[in-house]
Amino acid sequence: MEVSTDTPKSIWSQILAILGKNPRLSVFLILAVISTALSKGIFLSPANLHNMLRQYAGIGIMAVGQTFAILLAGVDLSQGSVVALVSMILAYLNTSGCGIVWPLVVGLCAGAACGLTSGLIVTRGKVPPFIATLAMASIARGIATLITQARPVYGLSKELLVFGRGTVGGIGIQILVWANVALLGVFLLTRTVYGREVYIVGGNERSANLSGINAHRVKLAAYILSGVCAALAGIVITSKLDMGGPYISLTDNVQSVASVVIGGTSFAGGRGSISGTIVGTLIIAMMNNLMNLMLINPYIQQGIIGAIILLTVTMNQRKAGVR
Amino acid sequence: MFQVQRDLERKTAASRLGNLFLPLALAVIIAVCAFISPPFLTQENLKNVIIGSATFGILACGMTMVLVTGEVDLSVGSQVALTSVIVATLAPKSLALAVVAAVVATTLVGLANGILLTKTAMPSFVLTLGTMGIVRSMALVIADGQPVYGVPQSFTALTSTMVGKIPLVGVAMVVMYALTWFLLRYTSLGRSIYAVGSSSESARLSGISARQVKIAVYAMSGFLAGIAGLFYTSYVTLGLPDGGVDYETQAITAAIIGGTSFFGGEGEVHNTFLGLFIVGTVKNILNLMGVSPFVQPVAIGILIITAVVLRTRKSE
Amino acid sequence: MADDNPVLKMERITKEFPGVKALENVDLELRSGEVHCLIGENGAGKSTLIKIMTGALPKTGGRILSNGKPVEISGPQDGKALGIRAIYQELDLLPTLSVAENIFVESRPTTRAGLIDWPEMNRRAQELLGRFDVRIDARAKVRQLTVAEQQIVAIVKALSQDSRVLIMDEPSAVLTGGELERLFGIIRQLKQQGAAIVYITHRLVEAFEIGDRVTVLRDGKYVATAEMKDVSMEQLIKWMVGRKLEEQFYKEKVRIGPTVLEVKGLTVNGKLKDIDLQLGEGEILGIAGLVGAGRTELLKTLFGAYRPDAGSVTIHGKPYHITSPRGAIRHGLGLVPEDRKNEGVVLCRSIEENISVGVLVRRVFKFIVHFPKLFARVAQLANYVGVKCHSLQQGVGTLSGGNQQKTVLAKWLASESQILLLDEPTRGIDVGSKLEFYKLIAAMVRERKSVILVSSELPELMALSDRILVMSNGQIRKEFMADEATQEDVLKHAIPQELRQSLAVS
Repeated sequence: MEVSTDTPKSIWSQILAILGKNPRLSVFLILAVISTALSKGIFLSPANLHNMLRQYAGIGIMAVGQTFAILLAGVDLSQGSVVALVSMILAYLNTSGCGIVWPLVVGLCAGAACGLTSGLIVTRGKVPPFIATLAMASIARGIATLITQARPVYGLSKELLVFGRGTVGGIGIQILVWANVALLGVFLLTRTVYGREVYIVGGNERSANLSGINAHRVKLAAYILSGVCAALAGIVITSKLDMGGPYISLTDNVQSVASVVIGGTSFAGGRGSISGTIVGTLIIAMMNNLMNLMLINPYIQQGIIGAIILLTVTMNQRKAGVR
Repeated sequence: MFQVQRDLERKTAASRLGNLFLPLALAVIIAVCAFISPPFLTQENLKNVIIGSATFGILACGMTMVLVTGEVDLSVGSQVALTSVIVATLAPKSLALAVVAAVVATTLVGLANGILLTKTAMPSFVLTLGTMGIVRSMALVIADGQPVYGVPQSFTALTSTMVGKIPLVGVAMVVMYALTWFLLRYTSLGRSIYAVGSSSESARLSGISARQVKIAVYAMSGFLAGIAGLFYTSYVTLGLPDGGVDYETQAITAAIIGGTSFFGGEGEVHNTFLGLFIVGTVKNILNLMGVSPFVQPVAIGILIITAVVLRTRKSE
Repeated sequence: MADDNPVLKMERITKEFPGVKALENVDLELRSGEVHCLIGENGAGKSTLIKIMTGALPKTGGRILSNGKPVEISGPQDGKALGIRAIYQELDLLPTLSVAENIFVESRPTTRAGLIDWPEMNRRAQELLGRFDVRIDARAKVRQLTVAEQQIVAIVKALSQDSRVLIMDEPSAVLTGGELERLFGIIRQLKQQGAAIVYITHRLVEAFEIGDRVTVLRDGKYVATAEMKDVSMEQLIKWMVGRKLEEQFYKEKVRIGPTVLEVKGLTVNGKLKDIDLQLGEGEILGIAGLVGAGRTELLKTLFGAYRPDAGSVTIHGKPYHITSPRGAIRHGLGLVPEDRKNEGVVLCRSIEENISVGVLVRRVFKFIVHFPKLFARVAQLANYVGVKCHSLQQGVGTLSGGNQQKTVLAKWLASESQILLLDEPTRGIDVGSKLEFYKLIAAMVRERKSVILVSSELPELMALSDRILVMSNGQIRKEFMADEATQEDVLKHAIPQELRQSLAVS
């Protein structure tokens, strides 16, 4: 094979080469261009973009935690239920006069406890993560409905609504929460000992154990992180909805997993990044936003997300050289 | 040598006991239920348990096959919705056409799943997560997001039809299980399904094509999802494009409690059948005892974990 | 029967893997009714050759003739159609299925209606197992059997069908004496029926007992074919290891210091029994033995992967409690495992990351990693061990076996291990890398590190070690100073008692 390295490449071929190497980035950019064109520029308006980000902050936060679980060759299917559980705890405690600090603390602890339980079932009980977190989802959803016998809780105090409706410097607080969680995730994965261990354990658990890494502990921490992210998402979502709902976030778990997968994290574990996940969430957000702007039949949204999953994962696998 | 022999005998004895574990568990649960709540054993109540479990049950049958190959099919819930929409839309023209079209459609979805899986080497979780969304959208678009009326009386009557003292739905489910059991145990395809799930490399060296086997299994899973969808439609009397949500997890639950391994190669449909009824009975008795219905998911979650943990402990 | 054309003839077979030439112009000729021994050291290309013969691997070059006619074997089906069957070293069984089903997976007995006839299948399987005189229940799941029992099932499976060429890849590795005797009986029977048998082994004693002809491979190349009765053991060894014996290895004389590791009465039920050993500073202690003798188990137990049931270990005179690999690493141990791909490296991550695990595990960094410092150290070590790569960000999966092994070694240098446990470190590595690896081992002992070396390649073990312990059945049988022992001495003690007796009788 002859490679002509000497010929100067045109800017376009260079751009094409970069895009060819980053399938999700190309999907993202193509979508952005299409969105802008089809919506006659409305898509790019700050109001629209801001709205879109506020709407998807919850899923974005969950997806950051989900990335850890999937990097470790697992998955967390309990996030959506944990969101509902935290939502009910927040709303219930808040409306029964516990102020806002205690509800937040208890909510976050509940999220962490769910993650810890899932993690223990996976590591100590040797239950496949799919099954363990599916069972956890059932349990968390059950407890969420039990609190008020499945009635939604309204009338949250104003301070609690800040997370979903307030802004700082014109930017919605949930977007800032998302950004901070994402930055923290990036920091953990790329700058800390723990992050290094996540990639090694996810890549080959036996090898990691024989290199002195306590794989169980790494996994346990990841499921706790995932649970805490779900709890944070629960706070943001509850605040935006202005209610505690036992049946909220029924489909959010799928979107959280989809964000990670579209973002190029391998389901086999050991490969992927938070930045990819963020692009993944943005792709899903843009798709839905575009369809809303275009007044396209909303029913095909799920189908389009499904198609994007298939498309990006296939492209990723081609890139990774998997047949 | 004697030591080895004794080990072997102990192992086979243990696995024989293991085979009896599920029936015993179900028997104990039924006995306890009958004891604490006399209405449990009435014909009316048992009929409800059967009708309530039928849709999941038929799905669980297909899911067991998929799990035995070491894969998973998350799209069956959406396929149930697709069936119900197709039946409700086409039934006013011709009921027979509607039924055939619905089952053909889901079988094709299954076939597509199988072909994509073997072509792209994508993990089945991700692949069927994608097709789950696509099939759901198909159902929603066909029905324009609204429930579709138009399921004829003759069709909705299926649910209440009785064969002797057993609901027709129950009979249909038993027939599906019997056929699948037969297929898995006595045909070459059935044994190849186990071989592929047990070790796909060894299966390849023995001349078994994992590709063909997996495509066949997904097609069968689609077919069974269609049949399940028919009973679902009859039960809800409508075409529900947003119906069947989460049915895949119910099907997986029954299969897992029935001892199907998530890693492939192991699992029997008759055990899934028992698993299905363990779940159904536990839900039913909680109802009869007047326990809040919201305790049910908690109980099922704990049941799943206990079942899988016990199983892993045993096999070690 | 005097057919001039051999049953199967392989000519100038070449097989290339990315980065490695596993076979180069190898010839093999099989005649009807002969037992053809295929011998060579580990990594000589024996397994690759038979995989090409059965169609499990495609060949890169060369041609295959069956009864004089060229044939194309492009998949397992083609090999079977030609009547070529193999009993692989890695057992190709279906662990969750029954013994009977495994035996008949390719041709299940059916009833007239075309359905699987389970009673018949179980009956015939039990009958075939009976020929081996072993008590295996045909209905038991393969997963429940011991490795030796699984090997017997694999053999029975291959025997259950008519085959013109039957390949046995080191069947004796896990069989006991009696079982091996019966296997030989069956082989002789098959021979009379006109089958060609390829018998792969690296135990020459066996080759002389059962073989008619022998073909020797070395480093993926054809060396020679001869009538078994015309060659001597010395000649075979010379062919196997090559003429330039002394140039293959590299060892420096190093003064051996005080004892750093002392093991007393180490026992792991069912794996190790009463192991005593001392390891001096700067010493290379070789452990010889056959597969299954407990060598890997000994290393892994010292490294904390198995919990000992009895015994005591001291490092530098201080008691060392075996808890986990993490604990072992803290005590200065490092393990280069036998199963490199599954236990040594993380294939999907970069060289840099793989090596840096050794630094991280030493807890140099509390929580935040100081990358310039980390990668400077990693780059230094990668350079020291001589990993050949475009960049250190390259995935370990893209490296050749030798470079992967150097990456593992660099990881333990990064963790500042003082005692290195090397388990078959040169298996599957090309010759050039082997020599570099030997030099690395020499450099480590020069720096006063100590090494325990497990290797199935006796010449290597004897050339590198200062002292050799011979193991069999989980026990240490004999200790030699390396310069006092001969290969025959070592082999004699490595073969378990009962096997030795059975071979002596026949």
